[in-house]
Amino acid sequence: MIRFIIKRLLTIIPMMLVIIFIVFALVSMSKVDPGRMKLGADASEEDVYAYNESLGLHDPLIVRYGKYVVGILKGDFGVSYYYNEPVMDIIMGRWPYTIKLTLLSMAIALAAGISLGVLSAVKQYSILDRIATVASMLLSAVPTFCMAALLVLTFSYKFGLVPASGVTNGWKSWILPAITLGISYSAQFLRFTRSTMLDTTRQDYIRTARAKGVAERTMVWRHAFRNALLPLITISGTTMGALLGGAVAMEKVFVIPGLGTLVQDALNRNDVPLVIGAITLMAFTFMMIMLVVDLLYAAVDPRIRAKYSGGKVRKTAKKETAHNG
Amino acid sequence: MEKQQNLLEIKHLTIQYVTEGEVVHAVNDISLTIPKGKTLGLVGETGAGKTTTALSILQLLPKFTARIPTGEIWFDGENLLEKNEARMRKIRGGRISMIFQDPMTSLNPVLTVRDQIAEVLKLHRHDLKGEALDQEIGRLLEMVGIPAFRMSDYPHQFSGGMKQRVVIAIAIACSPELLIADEPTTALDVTIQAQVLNMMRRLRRELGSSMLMITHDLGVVANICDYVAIMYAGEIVEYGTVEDIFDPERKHHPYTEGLFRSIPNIYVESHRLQPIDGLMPEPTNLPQGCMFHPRCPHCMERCTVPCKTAATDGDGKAQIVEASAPTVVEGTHSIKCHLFAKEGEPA
Repeated sequence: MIRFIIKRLLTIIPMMLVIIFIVFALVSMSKVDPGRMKLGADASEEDVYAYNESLGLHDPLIVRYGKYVVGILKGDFGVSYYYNEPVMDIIMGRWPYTIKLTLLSMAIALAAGISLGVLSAVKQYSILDRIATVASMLLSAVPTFCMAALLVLTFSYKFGLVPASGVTNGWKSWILPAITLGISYSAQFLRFTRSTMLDTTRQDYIRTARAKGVAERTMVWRHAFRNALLPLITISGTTMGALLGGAVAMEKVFVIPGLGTLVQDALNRNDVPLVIGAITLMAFTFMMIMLVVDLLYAAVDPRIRAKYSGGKVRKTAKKETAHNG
Repeated sequence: MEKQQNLLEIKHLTIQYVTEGEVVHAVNDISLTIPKGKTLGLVGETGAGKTTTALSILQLLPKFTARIPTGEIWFDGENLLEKNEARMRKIRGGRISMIFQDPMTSLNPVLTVRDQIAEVLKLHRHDLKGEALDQEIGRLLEMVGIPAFRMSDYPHQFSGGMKQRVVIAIAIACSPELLIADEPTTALDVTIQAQVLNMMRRLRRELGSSMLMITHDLGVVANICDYVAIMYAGEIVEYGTVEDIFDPERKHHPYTEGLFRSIPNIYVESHRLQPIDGLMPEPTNLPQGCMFHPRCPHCMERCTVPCKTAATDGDGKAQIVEASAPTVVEGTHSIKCHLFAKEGEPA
């Protein structure tokens, strides 16, 4: 298992190099002139040239790429053109907000989506199932910013229960954004859980479990749900990866200074180092989440565990030989 | 009260699957009995209603579609169809257990074999805990020919035949009074089939259980069964002891004869087997009269219409009911066919 993790971590290195290179190449195609941006329209061509030269912008692409990668290894992601601060410091100042929003909304989405999904699969065609199905379709169809606006109108302007925006009101400021994002993702989880649960409850081993005299609840959670977990882990992983990159619409509506708005602003301001740094970090986070997803697979499914750690099979075979002779 | 001789008694059981706009007549008015300690073979081709019959005993039929309009299933003096879910759960796996057809999919892939056997033991044998539980699991595995140390393995680490042994270990774990085996060897290759069958015969003898053996393999029946019921299109067309059914000198239902003719015989030189012409009728659209008449070489006019036949109702009173064909009874042997009934009088 440890060998598997090390192997996976090692494969991340070339993937990251490729991703950084692609971002680098794309950005270098744009005609951003940081010297002009910095020194203003009145500065002389020579000064601008000298400034850009000091940033190493006249080096060939591959040299700049090499320097950047070496810098990353030292923890140096460059300096933002706009903020004039190290990229890493800026990102780390914003990321906690994004992480908080992601974790809160994922918790809501998973709790609501999975419990309702399992319930509507177990009670297929019941009224609850029909309501849940229709509601989840509606929620998936309504864009999150629309729902955000509706919730803000109702709960902060009409009833004044929670703050409408900002992050300055402690835990209260997180209620609406987390619920909005959580609910809209829970619709997706609900439909997914329902269909995989319907699939697993029709498997032969469920019938075997019933024939043993197992109670309905044990059948659902111990036998069916564990087998339905794999696709759920996958979809949770990708959703979480996407959310950690920042939910731009939510951050805009609720005025949360998260990663999404940061990157969007950086793009608008031609802040190249910040864009590259943020994308690199997002890509790395996504890969780490996928690694966790793979490890969770192994935790849930012994067949995958056996594939990861080729040793287990041999051990059994050895035991068998020992037993037979 | 006199002690019940028959462990299982199915009376006039009819099962339908109702789906949108269609009624599937899976089991049509069957009656059969399994005496204590005996094995009944339920023989028939795919779709004859064998598995539906078996699942109805455990009440594991699909909830939304299956209907049981008439019938009684008496198990040790109690009608199972009148029991609620909680009472049925106590019987399932404890007093009646079932071995399923496909061992590759019958075991939960994410639980160890130990956990899957322990589950049924914990449900029905509350005295077993801790060390004793593990010892019992080991003993059960050894009984079906699997070394006890393999209990911590997962199903994917076993071969098909081994998995079926595990399924059998689960089924016999609580020494059930009735063991239902639904084509337990169909998915296995021939050499493993023989091993598993021999093992099942030995286990049945050791446990003293009764057994309902569902199969379409007459060889298996001859090997293991005391009684045989031949099922066709949801009806039992012939019923008797193994001697009754396998004796070529006796009268047989044309379908049974057809089944035997389609078995290869190494003593007779022939180029082709003799299959029964035609296909089993669609269970949504069963023929009038005898179910077998469209394929029967001896079909007569009266076979194509329903007939009146004598029957006894629940209180033992004789009455005339409508049936697809008359049932002729001779001792332990009964055949549902016009060929052997005297014309004009109810059989």
